[in-house]
Amino acid sequence: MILVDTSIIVAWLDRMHPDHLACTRSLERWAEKETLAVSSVTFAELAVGARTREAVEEDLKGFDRVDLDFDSAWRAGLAFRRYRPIARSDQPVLPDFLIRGQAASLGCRHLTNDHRRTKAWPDIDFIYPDC
Amino acid sequence: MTTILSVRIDPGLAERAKKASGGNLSAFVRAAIEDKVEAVELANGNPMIVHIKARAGTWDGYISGEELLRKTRL
Repeated sequence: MILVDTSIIVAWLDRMHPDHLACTRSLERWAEKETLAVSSVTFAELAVGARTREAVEEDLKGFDRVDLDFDSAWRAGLAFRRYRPIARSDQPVLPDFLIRGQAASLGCRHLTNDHRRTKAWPDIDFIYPDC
Repeated sequence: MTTILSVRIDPGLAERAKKASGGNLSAFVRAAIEDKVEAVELANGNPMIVHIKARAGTWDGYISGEELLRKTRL
């Protein structure tokens, strides 16, 4: 199973996103080989901008759904606390850490378009659209 | 490189195809075959890939995808 990050889902859905094609191709490529999953945290993030829940439900049809569990939440909080920004402009936010906490708990690969803060998660096998 | 493909069709349909093609029947039939083949290949494929192709670019939101990520991820 591959846990797909919100950064991939959003770029796939929005054709105006600069990485739309790369992220769509990446989803197609990995769907040939593995089960794709999304986090309930991604569902929350999509709710920030989507017009209807029904459309998001339809978008995520076919993806396995991973609820945020306590172990993942704890890992995320610890990593968030330990994280030291490399620049003043680097202000980490929790959703990113929550999803990565889930990938770490599940021991699955994590497909993301966000290359930042990966060193905070040495135990996660990150994969990117250009891989 | 191309190949010649002969098919038998109903004369009425042939006449309609000639009219609809606007004078370029070969290009018209070629495009129709391409569309049909692609649709069948998609339908026979991995349903998740069919879903990914079908929903690509269908975002309907109050804000763009990039703006959404700026809000949730900075």
